[in-house]
Amino acid sequence: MMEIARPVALRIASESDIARARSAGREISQALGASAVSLQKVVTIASELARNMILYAGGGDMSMEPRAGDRPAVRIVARDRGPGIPFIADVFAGRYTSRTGLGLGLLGSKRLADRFEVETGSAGTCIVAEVTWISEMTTRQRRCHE
Amino acid sequence: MNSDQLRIPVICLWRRLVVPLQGDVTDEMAAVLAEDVLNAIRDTSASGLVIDLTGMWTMDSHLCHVMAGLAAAARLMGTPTVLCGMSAPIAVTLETMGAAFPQAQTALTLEDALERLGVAAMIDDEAPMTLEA
Repeated sequence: MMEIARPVALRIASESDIARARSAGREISQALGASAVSLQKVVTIASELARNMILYAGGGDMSMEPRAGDRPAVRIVARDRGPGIPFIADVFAGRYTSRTGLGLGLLGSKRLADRFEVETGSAGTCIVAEVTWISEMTTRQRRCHE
Repeated sequence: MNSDQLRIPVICLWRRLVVPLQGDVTDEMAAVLAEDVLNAIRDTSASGLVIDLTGMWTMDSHLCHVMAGLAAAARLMGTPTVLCGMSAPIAVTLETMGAAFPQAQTALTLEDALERLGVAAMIDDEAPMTLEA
């Protein structure tokens, strides 16, 4: 019997919270029966977004919401009251990478996610990233019908 | 946590250093590790460094960046680095993100990594192995 995936809310205030975000991403993905690659995507995005909030926004809040069904998904929302992300167009075009790797973390997360939305301005940043996959259960059922 | 609890073992084998990473390496652990390894290279005059990722369940761009920096610094000191044992999901994820290790070679297993650094194993299955004290 698979455990039930529950939404999680995390306060990201110090470096150790980045590891907590990774663990939470792992637990929620496992509870949804994600493949090893989908799990890795969720965990990595959680880690990158949490680190960016620590490094550039003085912390923030992260939530992870599971979605069950034929197309299970984990939706990660990272919200902070930092100064906003400068040169965001350049970051997404791959023209900007800082020494600390901000560019790669953000661009990498966008590449990993199936859906990625950023709202950023001088009052803060909100990033929504979703990783979705096809349920193995559904694939198996389909095979039986063939 | 004090820095001893954050310490990752650095094993010296035939003048090659092997660093086995386990589970989840935090930013703090990675920083301590990079410094420890570079000091160990100097202290042991190691002629090669192997970072074994077999036991890792996750790796993000920051850890990649720290490992790439460690390999680059080791190279400046005159010691080549080989990364080995990366799992398939981590490899797929890092590749999708566009992360790279320009300063390190990679190998599939720890044995391959040591061979890459000039270690040749000789196994004698005929040799008596005594278990008695």
